[in-house]
Amino acid sequence: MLVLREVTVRFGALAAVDRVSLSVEEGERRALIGPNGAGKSTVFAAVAGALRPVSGRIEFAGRDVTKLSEPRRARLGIGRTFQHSSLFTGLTCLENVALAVRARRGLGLRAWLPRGRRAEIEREAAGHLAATDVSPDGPAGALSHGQGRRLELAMALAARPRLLLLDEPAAGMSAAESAELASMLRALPPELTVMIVEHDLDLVFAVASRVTALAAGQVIADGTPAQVRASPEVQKAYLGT
Amino acid sequence: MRAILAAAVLAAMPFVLGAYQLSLLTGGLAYGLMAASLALLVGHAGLPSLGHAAFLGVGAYAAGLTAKHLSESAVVQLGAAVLAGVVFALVTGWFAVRTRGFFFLMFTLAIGEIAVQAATRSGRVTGGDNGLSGIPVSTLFGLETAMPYVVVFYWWALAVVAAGFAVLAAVRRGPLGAAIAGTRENEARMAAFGYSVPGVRLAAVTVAGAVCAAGGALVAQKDTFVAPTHLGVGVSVLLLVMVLLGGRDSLAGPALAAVGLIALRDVTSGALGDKWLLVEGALFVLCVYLLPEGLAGLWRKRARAA
Ligand SMILES: Nc1ncnc2c1ncn2[C@@H]1O[C@H](COP(=O)(O)OP(=O)(O)OP(=O)(O)O)[C@@H](O)[C@H]1O
Ligand SMILES: [Mg+2]
Repeated sequence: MLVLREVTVRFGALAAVDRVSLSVEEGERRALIGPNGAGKSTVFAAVAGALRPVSGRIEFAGRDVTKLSEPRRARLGIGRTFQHSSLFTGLTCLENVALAVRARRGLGLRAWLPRGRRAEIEREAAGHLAATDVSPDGPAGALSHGQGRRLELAMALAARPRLLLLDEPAAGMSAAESAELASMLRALPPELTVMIVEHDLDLVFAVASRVTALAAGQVIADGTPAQVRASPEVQKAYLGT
Repeated sequence: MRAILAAAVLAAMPFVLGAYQLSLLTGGLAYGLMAASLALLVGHAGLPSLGHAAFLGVGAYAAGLTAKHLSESAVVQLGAAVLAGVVFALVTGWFAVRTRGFFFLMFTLAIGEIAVQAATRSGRVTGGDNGLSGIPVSTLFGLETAMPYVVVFYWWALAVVAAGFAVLAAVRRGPLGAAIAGTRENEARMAAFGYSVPGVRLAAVTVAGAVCAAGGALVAQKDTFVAPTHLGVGVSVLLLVMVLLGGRDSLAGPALAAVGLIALRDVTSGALGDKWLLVEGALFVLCVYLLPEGLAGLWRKRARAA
């Protein structure tokens, strides 16, 4: 479903992602772990198309997408949430999700839509909000932190991606909220491919079937959660033991 | 509902106002439409343009040249102006929407000045420094033979302004308007949804430019004259003052501010002459400090308090 071959992303002299290769199967739940600054978010940005690699190749669904723009990749089915809150705070929660629904249906730039179409879009958006347990009314800016994170998930799911990139979805959540999120993630459709960056290892091990560990931009381990946990490099770089 | 009421009141104005005031109001309405089109960029899209008068000028020259060489029909001239506005928006906007904030401001300023230069230098077509004069009075469905021309022209202008407002209001309310607001609030999220951010912004510039060019056509038809200064930064700033004074999140606010400013300028210009620019500058400073949301914000605050 997703293949990275020797992908390198630079910020000036810093190779934030350094010749990273990895391969994710369709329907897989892959965690990407690593210490702060390891390059996890940068990998996501490169896959989504927000950042261009200086070298290497990214394939999605059997197709070379390395040179495709971010919106093109989104339309092919790559969806993401952001590490830092990325809501439209001035819009209602429903409108936050409706923007995604209209984009997926190719109606995002219409000047006008008939009433029936509008109602359909609102129903679909409300469905995504119900599934993530967020109330549709009221501005997104007024949500609690935990609700805001769930709204981000609803927005990403509303685009109906085939590959979903979740960047620290549980950041700042309480243990209870994080457990609730874990059960939501486990309930995602099995054909959806999910990559998740997360520091909350309980959530990682509750959701992921495979784990890739990064440090200083390089892959240091790749395997089942148990294998990665046992890897000496990971223990040295990440778990600090 | 309020819009229909306003249109009805405005439509009755020929029965109330004299010819001079009616002509003044015609100009005020045209500037109101152009200010509202700029508000779509400044307020809704978050694109502060210092070159919006270029669209006024492009529309005005296109309408004037059409009148001189092609057709005396006001409708045909309007069509030509809107078409020219769209083309100009697509060509300049394609570059402009790839810049942000301060650079967008500078870029649009440059476009405006280039447009002034182009109008000044191509004297054989545009009349150069002297402006495009000798524009024939446009025909208005033959109605002008039955009624005083100022009255018929006022109604024509009102119809064009109303149609322009309807376009702006519909765009703001529809999916495109939501996408435009989305790119103002959060570009990264919009791109991740699959929106082309430059594409959405270009659509905003094109709508605003086309509507402004329609206003420019009215200016050319009303004055039967277009000057290069119509494209310049002075007029762009005047439009921006109207937007800030009226409220950049509103359409009616900038339009009201436009009518008010045009009337105020008319009343005081005899006494003030060139010092009018000082008044404009003072208003600009005052509304930035005292009325960050413009008159529309004042209105909303009162509505909330009531
Ligand atoms: N826009 C940027 N400009 C310059 N350097 C950047 C930029 N974004 C990230 N970096 C640097 O690239 C490296 C990798 O950053 P990245 O955000 O991918 O790490 P991460 O693994 O997601 O870390 P965290 O767990 O803290 O989110 C870091 O050293 C970071 O400082
Ligand atoms: Mg990160």
